Parts: sequence; structure tokens; C-alpha cells
Amino acid sequence: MPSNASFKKEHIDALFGELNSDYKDMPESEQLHRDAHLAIAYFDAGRDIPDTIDPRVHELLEKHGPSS
Amino acid sequence: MALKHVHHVVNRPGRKKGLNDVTIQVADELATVPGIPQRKQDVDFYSRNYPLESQNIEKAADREWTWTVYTGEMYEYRKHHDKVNKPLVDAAFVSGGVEPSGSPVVGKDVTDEIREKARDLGFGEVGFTKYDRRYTYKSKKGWAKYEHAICLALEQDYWQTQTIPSMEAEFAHFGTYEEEGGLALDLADFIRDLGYRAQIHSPNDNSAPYIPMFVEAGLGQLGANGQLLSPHFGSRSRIFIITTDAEVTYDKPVDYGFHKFCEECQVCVNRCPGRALVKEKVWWRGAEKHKLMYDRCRPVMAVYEGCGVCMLVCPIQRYGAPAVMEHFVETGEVLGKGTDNLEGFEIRGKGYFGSGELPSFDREFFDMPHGTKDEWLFDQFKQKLNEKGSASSEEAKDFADELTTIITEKTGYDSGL
Repeated sequence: MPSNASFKKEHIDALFGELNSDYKDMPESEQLHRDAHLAIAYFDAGRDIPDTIDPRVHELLEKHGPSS
Repeated sequence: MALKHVHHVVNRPGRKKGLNDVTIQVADELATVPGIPQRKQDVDFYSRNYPLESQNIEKAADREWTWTVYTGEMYEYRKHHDKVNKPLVDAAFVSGGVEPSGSPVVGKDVTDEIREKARDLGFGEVGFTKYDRRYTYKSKKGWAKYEHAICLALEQDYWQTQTIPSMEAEFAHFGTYEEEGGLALDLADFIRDLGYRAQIHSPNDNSAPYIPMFVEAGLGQLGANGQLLSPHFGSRSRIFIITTDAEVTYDKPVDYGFHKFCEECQVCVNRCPGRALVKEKVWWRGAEKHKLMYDRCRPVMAVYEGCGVCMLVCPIQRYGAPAVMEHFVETGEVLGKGTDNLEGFEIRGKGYFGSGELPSFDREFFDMPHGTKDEWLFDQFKQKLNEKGSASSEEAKDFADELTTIITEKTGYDSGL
């Protein structure tokens, strides 16, 4: 079940808005999108974000997450 | 400490060539049977007495109607796609008659060579099984050649797919078919160079439903959304087969745990804008499966850029099976279920629908033509007779002319949804 502080539409839009504006045409863009969706899911489930997630996604999560 | 006991583990090659192999944990309570539960005698009975027919023919009336409800942009894009795609479909149609260009090494199994080449070309899933003629469409019974099926899935773009329903997602959907059509010709040429014959069964002019053969080849299991769920990308792929007379070894069906997982998950069932998916499985033509309600699905697909919400919200599609099944083992929960991140979507003109919210449609929205084109024409004529009591000689002539046009037109190719 999602925690109370889960990502809502405005958080998701802001995170992916920045991700797209910074990385859209870069080769790593696709992997960053995958990582971002997975990281949000782990966050919403109250689990730790694994180290396998790109550090840039960690930063975006911190910046745009519901607890920011 | 994991919450669930792991029943078995499935190892699969990476999503693309060069990526690490993956491990999928299947919890005790998700384990069922490899592939899909089936009653062989029922599959045999239905295939013999009630053979399947292509939707290009059986549902031709509503497939033609979709063109009348497209947006202008979608209409133009479909026209463009059909122009690009038609030569590929035509080439596939005659591919089975092309002679081999090389000489076979007698007794040599070429499974690994074909699999390697397919992975080099970019196919995410490649498997081998028998071409199961029980599923061949009536109209393709004399066309399908060769007994071995090579099942091939090409992943469609991740980011574009997450924008479903949208034109962007349709570019990914139809664009993948266009790419796949070319790659199919390359792989068929490779098989001919090995000294064997190859027939391309186009994804847009199908010889059969291909999913049962993909399941048999161990490439996934049938999901609650009615689509093949493959371990890396769920249903975010476009599938087709090549049949061949080459010496190959068959793969085996696999239990990824999806058959049971879908019962736990149900996100696609709950999020379907048309309420076309059903919670409970049924036995249908000898297979236990979730059977969608076509008449609830089709109008939403036609009007809203192919819809695809059931693909969008599938956690296997979004996060991949390794993460989803690991999360279930660790927590007993479905990763992403109940969150806006997984379940949210936007419908043009109706707004955003977060988890727990769904759009509504008038009853008339679901009105559309049914059956083959001649069946639909006849239904309309009967309705006219019922309303007016008789038809004028001009109306009767129009009916006869239209019927003549329908029964003499060439059927088969329709690259639509």
C-alpha cells in the first residue's frame, strides 16, 4: 500500500518535467525514466531506494518528492 | 526478512543483448503451471469445429468505423503509417515461397544461430516452438507453411509508452510495427542463407493469435489485460512469428507467476476507462484466461488514440518482472498499486484520473457497427425494413450494390489496432 506521503500528479509532473528538460535527448534518458518510475514506486511503498538507481534520480526525488 | 517463501526462480537473458541476465523470484502463492492452464481436448474441439477467424474479417465493420471517429491528426498519421507499412505486409505475405539462398548443414541445429541473430537485430524476446495449427485463422488455413515457429517480440519505446493514451504513444505503437516489419525481412534472409525456408507471419496480417505460441515458447504468460506479459516489458512490445523448416530445438513454457499475480494485482481491471476487463478468469476455448469485453474496449480505443491504459498501468510493464516479483516476495504487495505514479492517466477532453478515479461515458458512446461488413449492412437493412415496413426499389438496389462491393473486395490487410 502507498504511504501517506506518496507522489501525486504535481510531484510526478515536476520530476519528469525536469528530467525531460535536462536529459530528453541524451542516450541515458530512457534508463533515467525507468529508474525514476521505479524509485518513485519504492518511495511510495516506503522502501529504501536501492543504489542501483542513478544518483541523478535520487536528486530529483529529493527535490520534487512529497516531503520536499 | 522476506515475507514470502520463494517457490522457484526463473533466470532470463537481459532485456537487450549486452545487458545482464535477470532473476525473477516466484512466491509460493503465485506458482501455478508453466504457461497457461489448458484442457487439450477442449482446445482441439473448438479449433476443429469452430475455427478462429482474423479480426480483420470478423470485426471488419468496426475496424472500418474507427476511421470515422479518429481525430484529424490520428487520421492523417494512420494514413501515413498504412502507406509505409503496406509494402512490409505484402513482402511478408509472399515470403514463404522464397527459395533458400544457402545450403543447409545436414544434422546441424541452428537454434542458437537464429536466436543470436535475432538478438543482434534488437528483438528482446526470442523463442522456439511448434507452429500450432489449432489456432490458424480460417482464412489462413491454406497459407501457413512450415512447422516450427520462431516467436519474436520487439520492445516499444519506454518513455513514449508511459504517455498513453496519446499521439506520442501511437508513434511508438505504429513505429515499432514499421521497424519490426523491416527486421523480419532481415531475419528471414538470414534463415534462407542458412539454407532453410522462412515465412513471416505479419503482426498486421496475422495467421493466428500468436500469444499461445509465445507462452508455449516460454516468453511470458497471459495477463489480466488479455495481452502477453513478457518478463522485461509486460505487454509493451509488438509480436509476430516466423515459421521455418530449419532444424531447431523447442523452448518450454515457464511459470513466471503472472497467472496468479494478475489475480492479486487487478490494477488494469480497476483502471480500464471502458470497464472492459473482468476480475474473474473464465474457461474460453479450452484455456483459463481473463476475457475482455470487446464492445466496451473498442470504442475507447478508437476515439482515444488507441487507449492502452491496461498496458500503461501494468506494473510488469512499468517496472519489469524482476523488481515487481521481488517486491511481492519482500512485502506481499503489488509494487505501485494504489499510487498515482502507476495508476494515473489523462483522457483528452476529460482530464486527469488519479488512482481510484475513472472517466464516465454516455451509453451511446459504445454504439458501433458489429461483425463483418456484410453482416452490418444486412443488420442496417433489416432495421430499415422494421422501421418503414418495406424498402423502395432504389433502397433495395443500393443494398445489393453495397453488398456486391463488400463481397468482391479484397480482404485481409488492416494495420489498425
